[in-house]
Amino acid sequence: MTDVTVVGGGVAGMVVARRLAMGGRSVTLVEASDHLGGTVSRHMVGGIDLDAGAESFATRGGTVAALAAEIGLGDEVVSPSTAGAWLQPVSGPAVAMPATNLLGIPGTPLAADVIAVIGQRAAIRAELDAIIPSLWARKSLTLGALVRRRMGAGVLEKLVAPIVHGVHSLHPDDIQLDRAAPGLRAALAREGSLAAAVRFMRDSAPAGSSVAGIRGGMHRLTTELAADLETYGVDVQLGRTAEPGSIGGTVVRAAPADPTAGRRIVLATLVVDAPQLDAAPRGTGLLVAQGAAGITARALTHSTAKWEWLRERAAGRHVLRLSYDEEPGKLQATALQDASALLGVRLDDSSVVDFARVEWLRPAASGAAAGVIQVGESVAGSGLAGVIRQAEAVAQELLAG
Amino acid sequence: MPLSSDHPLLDGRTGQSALIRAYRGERPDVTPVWFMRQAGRSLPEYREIRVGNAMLDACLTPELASEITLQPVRRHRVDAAIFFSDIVIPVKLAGIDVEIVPGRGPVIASPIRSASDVAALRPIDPAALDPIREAVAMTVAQLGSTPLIGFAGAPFTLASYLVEGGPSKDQQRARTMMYADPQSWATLLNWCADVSGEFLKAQIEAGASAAQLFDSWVGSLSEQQYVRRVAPHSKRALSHLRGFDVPKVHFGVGSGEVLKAMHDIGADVMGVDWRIPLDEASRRLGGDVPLQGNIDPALLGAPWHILEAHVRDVMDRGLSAPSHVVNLGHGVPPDTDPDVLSRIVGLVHGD
Repeated sequence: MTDVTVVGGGVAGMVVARRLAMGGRSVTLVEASDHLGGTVSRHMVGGIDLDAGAESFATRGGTVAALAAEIGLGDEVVSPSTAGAWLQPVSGPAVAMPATNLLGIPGTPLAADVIAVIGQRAAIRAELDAIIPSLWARKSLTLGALVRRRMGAGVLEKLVAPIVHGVHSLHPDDIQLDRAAPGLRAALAREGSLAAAVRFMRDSAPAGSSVAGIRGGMHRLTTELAADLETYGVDVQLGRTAEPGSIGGTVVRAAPADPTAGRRIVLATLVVDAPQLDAAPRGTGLLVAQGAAGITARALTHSTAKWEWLRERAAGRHVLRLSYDEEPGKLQATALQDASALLGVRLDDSSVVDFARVEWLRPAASGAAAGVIQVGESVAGSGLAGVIRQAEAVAQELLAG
Repeated sequence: MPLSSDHPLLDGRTGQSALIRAYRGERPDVTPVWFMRQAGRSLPEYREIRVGNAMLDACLTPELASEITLQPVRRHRVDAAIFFSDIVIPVKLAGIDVEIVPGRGPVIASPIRSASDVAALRPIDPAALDPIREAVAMTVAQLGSTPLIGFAGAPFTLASYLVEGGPSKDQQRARTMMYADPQSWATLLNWCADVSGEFLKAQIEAGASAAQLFDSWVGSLSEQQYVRRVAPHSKRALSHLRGFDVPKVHFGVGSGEVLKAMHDIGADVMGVDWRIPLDEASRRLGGDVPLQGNIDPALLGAPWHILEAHVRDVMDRGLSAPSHVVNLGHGVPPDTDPDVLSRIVGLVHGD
């Protein structure tokens, strides 16, 4: 007789099932598809094993690294290259991301790397933030409202919007300040200006990169978690949906209540033979401002420039990954065009070794229905760090109860 | 399910024996002693009875297995019988084609190397263990107050045989699979744990008063590998004895690095090989675990005064543990003079 049935075999479901089984519970996990791991999965492009979904994680709180260490991947956690990311503004050439910023909000509005992105006029407007009384705009509900009122539309649309979209897939006007940047409101009150608040928060952040990856790919998490489910005797049933009445014990929902609701994201992966990319002309990749002329992609990751282990594995070839909110008609051709324009390097069909298309549905935030134990992205938000932390907390609660 | 009321441990036959009391952490007046691999190859009466019988056939013929188990008890007056068998017996009973090749050891006809090989493994049919139950019952009927120890191989050692196809120097193929395909590895070790667990359970139910799980090749693992890839499965093997109040002994060769982790799978008593002295083993275990061991088998061929000093040293160091059962640090070598073993028993018993 099963104590707990976990419905959904993505990372959240696997983490809950594993922790409960290690705690001595008898656990059944049902997964509708034919594989575990959800968006943390693998595909082979151009003969190289690549992450098909998540390719890095936020280091905050140490949550993911702690799990990685527990499942034998502690020595495999790696930091991305320090080359830094770039930004493709609405018009003009791509520019390096300003050195000191928080979600694109500059710590020094008149710095040369800020002026290069938003222009002198907008930078001077942003500098007004230093003399506007600190109470001004403090009660702004959204991140967008705060930035617009203190630093102007230039900073908001040219710097903050592309970055926030890259992280949360939302415009700053559509995201609550305290969710996007916890602590920023209080820092503003204390420091007197938004720029000073940004500098304060950057200075007090722990050293090291804010994201990390796993040597060999994030999908190794799935492989190891699946092995642990086997080791600790979780009854894993693939290709099975959870009809009411067919499942027993306490039910933990690790799949969104409505599997069709959410935002569709299409990822185009190109493996190319292009020695001009060896110099990593746009660092680890670019975020694209909405409305950037002639570009359909929302972001480009130069994976072989971002991850040293992948560069070695690709043996001279380059891996580029572009993300699309709306899929263009000819994905491969568009991805190649976008990559050429964004990287400033001429790429054509002859340089393409292989191409792959992956589609993911990011579930809408729904919150848990009354009486339902829910884990995963729909309640924990996007990002593995939050998903794993919430799943572990739910497991601990169930073990204690 | 508890043991039946006519089990030797419960009906007054072995419950107060020196071995069981020592396994439970008490110090009986006389220190108990037995030898791993005491049954078998070193005894002339064994070699005689084996003529014309293949090793695994002997293990599966109840009359033969029982007689071979009893021979060293009669000859050496040891404090325990260890069931005569081989760790691959349950594997064979689960349908794997395996033979013992003289001079080499178990040889698997089709080694288990791929995910599909692992997926094709079928659970053992409990009825297949009937010859084992019968042999154990025949043996305990003749042992009286001497306890019989049940015996099984731990999942890692068993899986290593299956992956390598036979004995190997450093279990490299097995350790590669552990990393290259951790899920198949886990499936294979669970299968081994269940097969060994059922084998052990059959012996206990039929009358064995203690259980010993052997992890002969654990010494090729790092502590991290052991804890992550092996220990949960060893624990699963012992979980088949849940509900039976029998002492559980765990032994591995080269286990110094992982002694504590091996104890943590749920063992009551730790067998120690000859590489670390018992006082050091006891220290590593926190000082409250009964120990078994650890005469260096190499000294069995040394002049008596040297061996005698060594046995006394082993017994002195054993005093640092709550209780001590004297044994070798590994199995009896085939060329051992049986009289030497009898003499050690006399020394330990203070005759």
